[in-house]
Amino acid sequence: MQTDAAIPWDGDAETMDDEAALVRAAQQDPAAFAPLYRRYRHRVYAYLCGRLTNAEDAADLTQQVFLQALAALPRYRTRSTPFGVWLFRIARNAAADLHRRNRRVAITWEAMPEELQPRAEHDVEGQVLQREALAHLHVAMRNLDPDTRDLLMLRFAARLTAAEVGAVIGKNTAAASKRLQRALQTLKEQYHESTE
Amino acid sequence: MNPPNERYSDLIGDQDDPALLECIADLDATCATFALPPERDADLARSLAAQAGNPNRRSAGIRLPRLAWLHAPWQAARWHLASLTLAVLVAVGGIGAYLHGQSPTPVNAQTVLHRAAAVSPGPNEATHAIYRLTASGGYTGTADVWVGTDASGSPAEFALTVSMSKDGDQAPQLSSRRIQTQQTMQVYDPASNTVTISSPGASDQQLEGVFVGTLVAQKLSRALDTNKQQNPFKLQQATLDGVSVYALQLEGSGNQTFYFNTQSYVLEGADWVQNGKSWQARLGPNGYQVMALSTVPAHTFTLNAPATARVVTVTPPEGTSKGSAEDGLMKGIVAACDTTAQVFNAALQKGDKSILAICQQTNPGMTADSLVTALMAPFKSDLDAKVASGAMTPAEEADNLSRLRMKLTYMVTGQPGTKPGSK
Repeated sequence: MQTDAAIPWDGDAETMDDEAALVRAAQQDPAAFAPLYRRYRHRVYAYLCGRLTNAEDAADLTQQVFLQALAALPRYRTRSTPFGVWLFRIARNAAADLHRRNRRVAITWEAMPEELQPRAEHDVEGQVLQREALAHLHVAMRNLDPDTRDLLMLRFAARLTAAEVGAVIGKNTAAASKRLQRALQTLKEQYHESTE
Repeated sequence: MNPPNERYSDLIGDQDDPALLECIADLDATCATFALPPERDADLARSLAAQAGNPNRRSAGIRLPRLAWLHAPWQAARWHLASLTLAVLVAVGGIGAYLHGQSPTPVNAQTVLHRAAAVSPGPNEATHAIYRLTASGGYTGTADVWVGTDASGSPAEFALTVSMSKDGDQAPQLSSRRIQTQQTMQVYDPASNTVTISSPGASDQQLEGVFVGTLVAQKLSRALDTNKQQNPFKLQQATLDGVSVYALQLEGSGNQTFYFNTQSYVLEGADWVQNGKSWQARLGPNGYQVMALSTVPAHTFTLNAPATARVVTVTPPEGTSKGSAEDGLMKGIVAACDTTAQVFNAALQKGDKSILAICQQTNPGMTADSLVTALMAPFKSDLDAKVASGAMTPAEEADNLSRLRMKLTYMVTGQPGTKPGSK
């Protein structure tokens, strides 16, 4: 179960301003990268889980993303792009590269036998949330095209704002918002179909 | 953390579409379950530290050994312990006990599964197996498994006791006892000293879906059938603790490996990774024992939980449909609205009122907040118990309850008949 501590939001004790300070510190001393890693690790991983449908690959790619980010950090300029946007561009490109490079489709959660999937046996909230919603959500997400899924993952899993999503995909905020709303509408329709 | 409706206000705008709101809430809740496994987290932190200490090292050349783990995307990240997977493993192994005499000629994965799936236990028999368990972090223990069959030879009773310890101290958070019959499923959680009893409907579903070895093998086989183009199983002949086995690995699913005896098809062991913890099960020295059901020791298929255990009765959804979850909440609605299920359902089927509006017909003073609070009460009680036992932090409980409240609010105020995604 995730908590605020596990998945830091834009709140926490740190602000965007001090994020810039963290970045500057990490640029001066790579050992100071740790706070940035802690801030984004679960979000990057969650985003990649949504992109890859294979948790192992998502974990591997999370590692690759952060190592690339650390290596590239000296070249990053805080004024040009927020760090989160820059990081998720790396993640997005890495996911795309993996898709191109490795078209192997391992057994995914969709194909996994039901009994091999973890479930929260005693979790009553899970009874409500997982059993009904997740089953339908799985179907709905699976049926989305990759771009739509990518948008939703940037917003919901990566927890970027619409403006940040736009920056990642190369669109302005208004266009990104419109795309997000369309994506959500599509998901809603798929969600509806999966329940019928 | 702000509630989801505030976090996603840019997507929601002025819309009052419960289906959209519910879709957002569910997606938010689902995404919140993804977390980098602790082992991967630790490895990555170490790797970053190493790279930070050696800036000339090229990141492209760095790749830590893959630590496989079982956490397919879109699954819940929380699992109390390995018992469910374990149950699958031992159930699959159980069916192998009846496959004596099969040829050890090379087979493919489908052949292994077909042979396992085709075999049923004898009528009124029982099998007993004890697996030695190890889990990363220095945990060791056993899984004691009994399976009893009915007069038709179908598995009808199951008893699974997982006992884990570390450095000589019991590890209740990784231990449990589960009894399942065709009527009910009982799980004792020593960590919270709680017995959870599921309804017959849920038990039947669990019985078929998890514990019947034949069906497990059939499902694995079906999974293979659906992935013919990309076989998800990797089969190798190997030696495990001196025994010749077929190692059947499910690729890309957390490195789960089943080790079947090449002669008898008994499950000699299994490896899997779960919530960042690596598990191994190995068949104990006594192997499988098959006996007449009448000779099974008394109380084998009873829970034997402490008298002080708190009992929680859960009425889980009958399926995975939206409606079934509402069925699970029906008791709460009936009580809060001072009505009956029949009256409520009749009103709901008319399709012109929300759950709240229907409720207000029999309980005019009811508000959305009050109704949601009433429906949340049993859930909150359960979560309170988890917090009290240390199985959950107050923050986690609050997070859970926040999501649940949002979801229930949409449910009771949404127009009848609307399903997630519908207008």
